[in-house]
Amino acid sequence: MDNFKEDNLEIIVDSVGSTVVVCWKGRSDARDPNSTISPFLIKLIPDLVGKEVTIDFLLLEYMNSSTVSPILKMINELENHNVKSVVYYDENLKWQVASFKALKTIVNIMNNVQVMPK
Amino acid sequence: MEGKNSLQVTIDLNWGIIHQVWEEASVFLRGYEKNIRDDTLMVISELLENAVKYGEVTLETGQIVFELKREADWLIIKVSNPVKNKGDINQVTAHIDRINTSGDPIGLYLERLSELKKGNAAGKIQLGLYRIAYEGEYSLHYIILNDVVTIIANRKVN
Repeated sequence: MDNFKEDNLEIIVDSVGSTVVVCWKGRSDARDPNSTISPFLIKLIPDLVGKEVTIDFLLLEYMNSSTVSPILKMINELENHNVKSVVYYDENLKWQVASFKALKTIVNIMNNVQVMPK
Repeated sequence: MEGKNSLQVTIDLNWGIIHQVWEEASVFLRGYEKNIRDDTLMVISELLENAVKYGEVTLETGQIVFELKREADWLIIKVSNPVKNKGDINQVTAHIDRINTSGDPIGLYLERLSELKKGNAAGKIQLGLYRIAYEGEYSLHYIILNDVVTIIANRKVN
């Protein structure tokens, strides 16, 4: 599976056996993440079906509000494809707690996706 | 806080300039605790992103003006920009009015997230102003004068 790198953001996809870790690293501050990050994330989905997926935001230093949309789209796709997934955020970073607690509220009714602090 | 009490920058419609302003503001905010610094830098980025996306900068209209200052116990951020159309002004003022009248920024933020999740938020994402109020804990105000919109965000820091 490919990785993503553009400007200050890297998304590193690491596959070991039946587990895939999608690690976000750096700063997501592009003008239109919907046209750059979203296609990359959506393209990953077929390869994630049948796997256990971890989406790790612990190394993400900043994201603009436009980044929320691609994250939500990916979470929706994971849920729709019945991919068991856990989204981890850094409980020591106030901005991550605020952003991801809100996201957790939104995905609470999903069967396959969980959002958790680490 | 050490050093000067204000930072003012005039910028054009260049996306890369936002990160440069971020760097300068980081230096300005060096004496503040991390949460205030992170919140303030987020607010600055969101406001500047809006200004660069929806602003109109020509020789006739003028440029985007950014200011970050400390006044007594308050941190104040001002971003002024000429706007492309009245519809954009109306949307910004409607969002800020909504935040100020509801008194429930997290509720508004969640509502917007929910719309995004359902795919009901066609076009502009428009989460930034709600994020400023909810996550950044900044109050928002605006002034419209001669097709220039000034967004003022402030937060008590002591």
